Amino acid sequence: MASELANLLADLKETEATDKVKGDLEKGADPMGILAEAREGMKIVGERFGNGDYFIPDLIYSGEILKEIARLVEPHIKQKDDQGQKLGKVIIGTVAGDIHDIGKDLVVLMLDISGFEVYDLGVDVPVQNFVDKIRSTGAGVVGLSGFLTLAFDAMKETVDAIKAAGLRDNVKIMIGGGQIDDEVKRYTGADAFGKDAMEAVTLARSWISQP
Amino acid sequence: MSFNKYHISFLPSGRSLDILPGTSLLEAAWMAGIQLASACGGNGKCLKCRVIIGEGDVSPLTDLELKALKEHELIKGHRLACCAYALSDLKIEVPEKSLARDVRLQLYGLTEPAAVDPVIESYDIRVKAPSLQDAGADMDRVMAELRGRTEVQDLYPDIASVRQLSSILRSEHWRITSYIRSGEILGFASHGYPPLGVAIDLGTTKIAAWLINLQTGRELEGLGALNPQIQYGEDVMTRLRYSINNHGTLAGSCGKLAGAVRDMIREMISRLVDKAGESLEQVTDVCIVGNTAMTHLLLDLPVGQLAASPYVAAVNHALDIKAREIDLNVCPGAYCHVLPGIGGFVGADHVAMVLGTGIDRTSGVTLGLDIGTNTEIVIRRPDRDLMMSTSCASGPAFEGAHVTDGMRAVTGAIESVRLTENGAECRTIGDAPPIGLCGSGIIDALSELYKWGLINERGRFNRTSSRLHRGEQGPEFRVVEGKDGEQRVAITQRDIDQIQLAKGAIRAGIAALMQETRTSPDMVGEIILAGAFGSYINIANAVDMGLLPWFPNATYKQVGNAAGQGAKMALVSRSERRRAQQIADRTGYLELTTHKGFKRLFAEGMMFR
Repeated sequence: MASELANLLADLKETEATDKVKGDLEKGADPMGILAEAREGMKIVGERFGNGDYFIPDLIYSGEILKEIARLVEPHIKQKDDQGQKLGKVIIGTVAGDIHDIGKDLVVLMLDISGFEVYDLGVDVPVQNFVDKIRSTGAGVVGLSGFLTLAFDAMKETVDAIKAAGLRDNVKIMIGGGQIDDEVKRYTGADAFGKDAMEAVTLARSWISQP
Repeated sequence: MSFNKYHISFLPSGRSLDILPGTSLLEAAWMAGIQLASACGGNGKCLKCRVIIGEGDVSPLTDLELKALKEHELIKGHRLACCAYALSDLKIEVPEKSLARDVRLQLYGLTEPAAVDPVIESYDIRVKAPSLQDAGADMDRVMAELRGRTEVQDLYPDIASVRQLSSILRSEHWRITSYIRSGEILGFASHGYPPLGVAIDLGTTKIAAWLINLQTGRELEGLGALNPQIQYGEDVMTRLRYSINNHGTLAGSCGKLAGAVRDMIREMISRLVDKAGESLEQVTDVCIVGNTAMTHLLLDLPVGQLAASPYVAAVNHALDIKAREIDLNVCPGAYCHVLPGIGGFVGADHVAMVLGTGIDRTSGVTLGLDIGTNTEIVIRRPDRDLMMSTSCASGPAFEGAHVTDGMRAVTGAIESVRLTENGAECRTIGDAPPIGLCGSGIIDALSELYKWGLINERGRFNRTSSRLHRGEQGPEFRVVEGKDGEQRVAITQRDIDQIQLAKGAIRAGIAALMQETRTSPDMVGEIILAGAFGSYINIANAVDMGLLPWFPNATYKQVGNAAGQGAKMALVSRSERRRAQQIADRTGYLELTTHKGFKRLFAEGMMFR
């Protein structure tokens, strides 16, 4: 049985969910426990999306609620949760020239609740930022997002730059966004493409499997 | 990405082009500027795009063609152009029957004639023939004659008009008509021929053009065609990308894209003039409107900076260029006026829409929408002397693209749907057997599905309903069952997703504009729907399914091709051109992606409520 907060979040009951978090915090509840419940709720959202009960707006709503819960809980966290086992590091960003963030944010959200350590580089990300981030974090997966068809070229440039920096063999690269298909994948030199946020999680899981 | 190319020639027109493998013959025909008919958008459903393969190898017959074509036709080499691909160089015959005719292109906008404030003056003059005693130059003689007729002091000839003059003076026996624009002599025609102009609405998918008498403002002819740039991509971004990849990012020419659309416009002007029984020399002014990408590609302006954030145009101000600069063969010195744009992708067509509908002069709070592949939205708040516009990527779903059984609004398209206890009642364009759904039919169908509880407010099918069928892509609702040889027409979950994405973008655009202008729903007095799609939809259903917002005090008005109307008004009137520039200067531009809370508005806009 999922907890009450998990169900409220899964049913996208925004006010009820945030009220519950505020109440629990006042009563001195464990902030890490609240976050764990929220993650459980997001897992249900992911399942509902996967089986066709939920659609993009529901992912957006749940993400907004989660963001609000995290904002409420944050001041109560004394030390960072270090024992939380992260599955692996993933770098995500919308490529240069493109500023669309809805799809990218959903991917970040789903990866995060699935237990990945996500580095979100934002939108209109210069090629070099991806390269630098791979170097500094040692992440094994990179996700390039783009909504405009023009983003295909920026994706290709980004992949090329990673190659030129000698890092291509260290990372798996996935792409996603508007009208991406297998041909675009080949053109950009990425390893795979995903049609939605859930596929991004599946890809990342398959690449960062058991250590 | 580079591939081999095949050379395709079309008969009887003799047009030819090189195509990449993987291009269907239908796309090839469109690329070559041949208006091959296709109602279903190349899905093998309408059977309109028949061609005959003369020479060369093509891909094998598809099951669909084997079913649709008769044996004697197959023997003669008949194919559906949308199903066949070149495997070598080809010669293809296009039967007259396969050419597009009845595309509902929305040629006719508002009917009010535009008030004339002429840009072009025209004078019928008689020039004395020269002699050895009176050997003044041809142009000097004309100018001396004109000086007595016009109030303009500084007359000067365009060089091309000088080139035209000597032969026409002699062939017309020294009686000619001369056309002047602010003192500049543009060219000449036979005595007594009035100056004509052409107004052009250059759309991403369609081009509409009208021939107009510049002295009376009267419309003589109208014509519609598909934009041949479709071969380089359905949407503007894909075309910009093509242009950039083939010509470098910032400098220079749009090349093929410019060429294709210029050829089409030139041909349309010729046909208009022919139909009206007039001559090309009389066409002394052309007025063009289009979105920012379309005008840039037509004029060979740099587009690299337009395609990437922060999406800036090379120029937003109105332009007056020589028509010959865009390869139009009209009156030798004629000008082409391009209306100003506002910002980002909100271009001259939007300014023309505001001009054509008079939104800039309304007395109440007004919301204007032109729904298309890109949807432009404007709000005017006369109480605060404020206008603001935005553009959202609504995609081509309402034009039938990316919808399984979607199609354009032509014969055989289901244009309205009503659900009953045990089925669906449909009306098709031309009362023809149904082939698919056009935009208005899709709106009706979704509104009805929602009302009958077959989809919930998330747009998800109620999978327990016995009225749904199991199709290839999961649950589907069959608008037409497809019994007794009928074409089955179904709506799938994926189709609903597409419409939701489109409507989410449009509703978010409206909501963001209202927030930015601090406009509440009860303030809005009028909603004006421009464009083909907006003019045919059932408003009540569009409100029910949440494509359009419901405002308690608003009246809804469908006005047809308002951008075309604006282009016509600017064509015949100097003061309307000034007004268009004022609209562009005074209208604020909202970039949606940077609007705070856009994500939430988008999510809300996708819901059915």
